Amino acid sequence: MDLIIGQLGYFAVGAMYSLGLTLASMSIAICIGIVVSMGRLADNIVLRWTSTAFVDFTRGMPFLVLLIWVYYGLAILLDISLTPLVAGIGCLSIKYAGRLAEIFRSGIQAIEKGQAEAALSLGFSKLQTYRRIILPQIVPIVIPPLVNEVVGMIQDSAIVSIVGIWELMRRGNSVANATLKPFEIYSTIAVIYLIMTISLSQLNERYIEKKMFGKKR
Amino acid sequence: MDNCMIKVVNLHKSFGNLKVLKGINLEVEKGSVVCVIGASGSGKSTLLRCLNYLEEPDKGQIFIDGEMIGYRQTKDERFIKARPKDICRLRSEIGMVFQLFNLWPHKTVLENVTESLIIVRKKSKKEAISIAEKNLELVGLIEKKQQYPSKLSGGQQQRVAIARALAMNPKIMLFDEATSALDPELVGEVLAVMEKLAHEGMTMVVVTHEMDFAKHAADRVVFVDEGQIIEDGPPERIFSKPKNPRTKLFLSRILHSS
Repeated sequence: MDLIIGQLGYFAVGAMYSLGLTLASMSIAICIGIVVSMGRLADNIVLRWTSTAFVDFTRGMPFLVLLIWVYYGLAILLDISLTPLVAGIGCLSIKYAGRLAEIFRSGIQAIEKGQAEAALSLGFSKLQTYRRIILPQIVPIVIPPLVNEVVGMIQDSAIVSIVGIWELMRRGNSVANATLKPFEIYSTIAVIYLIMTISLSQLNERYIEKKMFGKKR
Repeated sequence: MDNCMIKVVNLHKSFGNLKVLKGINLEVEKGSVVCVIGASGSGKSTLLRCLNYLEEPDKGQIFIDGEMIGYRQTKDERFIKARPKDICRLRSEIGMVFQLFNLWPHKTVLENVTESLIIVRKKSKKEAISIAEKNLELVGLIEKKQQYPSKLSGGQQQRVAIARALAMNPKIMLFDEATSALDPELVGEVLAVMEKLAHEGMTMVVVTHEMDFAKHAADRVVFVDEGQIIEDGPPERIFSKPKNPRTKLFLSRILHSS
């Protein structure tokens, strides 16, 4: 027990890294996801195909394979070496952007077509229609699946430990190896992950969704 | 020609292999009210939606106040496809009222009206609010301005939708079965607003099943059947002495059922 308590500070920093990775990657993934979801619904066939290919590729690739391929493969292929942090955040962002794009697309398609038509008939451009009329309305629709994705990303952030980011999982590995007490250490790590994910879903249920659904409709 | 606000020449539109419009020709004078009647599926809504380019015509031309929509003339007098911003500008001059109101549920009544003034017309917020309030007053809903649309009855929502379109100061108002989704007791309040507009000299194209409205507010009634205008004239004549047997049949059905 003393062993674990002694490491808690070390693990806490690791947990901060995990959350930081998730926060950064999720922000990027949301931006890319919005753009790709609009591409999926575009009239322009090139845009539509490119974004469909992006979704198929990122969604169809196991995260571990994607990460190794980007981190080691790109170094060989293009002679560029990415830092672990760039590779980790880059892969998490891309992987989740494809998934989020599909969530956003379903949100956009759930909005009555007349909502956009009303805006267009008043002279809004397509982009203005998305930004002012469609996107604000999809927020309450996409929040529950979006929270799912954030929780999933916290877990997937453990995988980026293999390229050498000192987040929670990697710190667990190193302590387990050094102390030869893997059971105790990994149990602790598991509990820390659960604390992070469960507090996030509770935060969402108690505050965010309540606030969203509380008014207007 | 100078007095012509809308001119439609040989308009065709298909959805897949379903031919909806088969050569529509129509002229609407400035300040006149034209009611478009016809059975459902006859193409009257599609015709209306072509007028502000929500549907892109397959063939034919539409001129709004002398300007051909969907195309623009180059310096060497050729016609090429219009840019998106030309279409936006044109649409901003044509108000449209929909069957299902299409108010934006995440915005208040006032914001529904100010939004396009701020985004499209680039008005300041203060200016937008004063224009919006004037138009909400016109439709009699100024006291509801801070409400969300879901708190309003259908008739009130439709009146807000009319105010939203009017706030842009359009040259033309299009009404696409504006009262069809309303409870019968709410139809009157919307028709009253429409009649007021008609008397004030707004150019209006009204797709409707309200024959009473057509009778006393329209300058002209056109009957659309299977994608073509088969009868066109003043309401008194259309309703009392329709020439075409299909018009006769349609009118006898609709007038006897109500």
